Amino acid sequence: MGESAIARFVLDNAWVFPTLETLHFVGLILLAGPIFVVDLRFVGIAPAISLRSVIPLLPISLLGFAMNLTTGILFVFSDPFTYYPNLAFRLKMLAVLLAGCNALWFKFALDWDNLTDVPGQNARTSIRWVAGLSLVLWTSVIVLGRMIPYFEGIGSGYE
Amino acid sequence: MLEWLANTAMARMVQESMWGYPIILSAHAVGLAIFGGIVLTLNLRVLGLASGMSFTGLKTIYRICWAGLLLNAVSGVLLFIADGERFITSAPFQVKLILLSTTIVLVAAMARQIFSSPQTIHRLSVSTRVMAVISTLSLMGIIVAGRLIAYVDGA
Repeated sequence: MGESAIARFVLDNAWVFPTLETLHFVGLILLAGPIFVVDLRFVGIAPAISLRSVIPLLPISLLGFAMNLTTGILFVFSDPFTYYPNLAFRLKMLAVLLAGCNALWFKFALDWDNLTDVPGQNARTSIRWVAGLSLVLWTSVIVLGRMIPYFEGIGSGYE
Repeated sequence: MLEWLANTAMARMVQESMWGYPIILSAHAVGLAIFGGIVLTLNLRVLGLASGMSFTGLKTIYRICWAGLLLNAVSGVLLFIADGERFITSAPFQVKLILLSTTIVLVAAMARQIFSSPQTIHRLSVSTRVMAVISTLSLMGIIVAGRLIAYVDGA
């Protein structure tokens, strides 16, 4: 992986890594902004917004996720031996996985056909918990990501 | 003055404690997600996405963006005092502050328009849309400049 053409491209051009990092941050707000608004609403905040009306925000989050998956894979390709054993990186991947499963739970547990257009109505309790968990998990993803450089040399013990 | 700041107890804590710096950087990234994320979503709404979302309700969400900004003002000041001399001469840092001020003014002005009079809800003026576009661009500029601080040496 570290010897691949992709890794060489990232490592041999000084501007590539900062550009990827910048795109990773842009992807972060594209992912986090809409998902925060959707989650806050489904938790029960801002009831004047109808539950159905926030749903068109979700494709923007998916776009942000796709951007960060792409840039993230490029980071790992550029320096696999630094990322793979890193404890913060591993925990971040675990948090992304859990957040993904949580999003699928939302998709399959939500009664899409009866989603209300009427303001002031809330989702049922289990969906509110899923939305709250989503807020916690995505925030952990951000924190763990920022921690990766400071965990260099702090492995998980399983490398 | 900046040297004095860098020697204060607060600055020393940030510089010397093993986890001080990464914890403040993490807070800065979370604040970015809250402020940038909500501003971006609000701008997208102004530009026509998810047009079913009522502005009355969005006002509650909008207020949360200032909590994100506050988090970043506090964490930003802490990062600054730890190494003020490097930051103050850094061109990307100066650009970042200018873009940040621009974004704050635009977002506040836009919010005044969309949250004040209910009759504007269905017919947003061209100026409101222009503010949404420019504040989105300046938000992206903040991110680019912020990232470059780590790569461009001060004068």
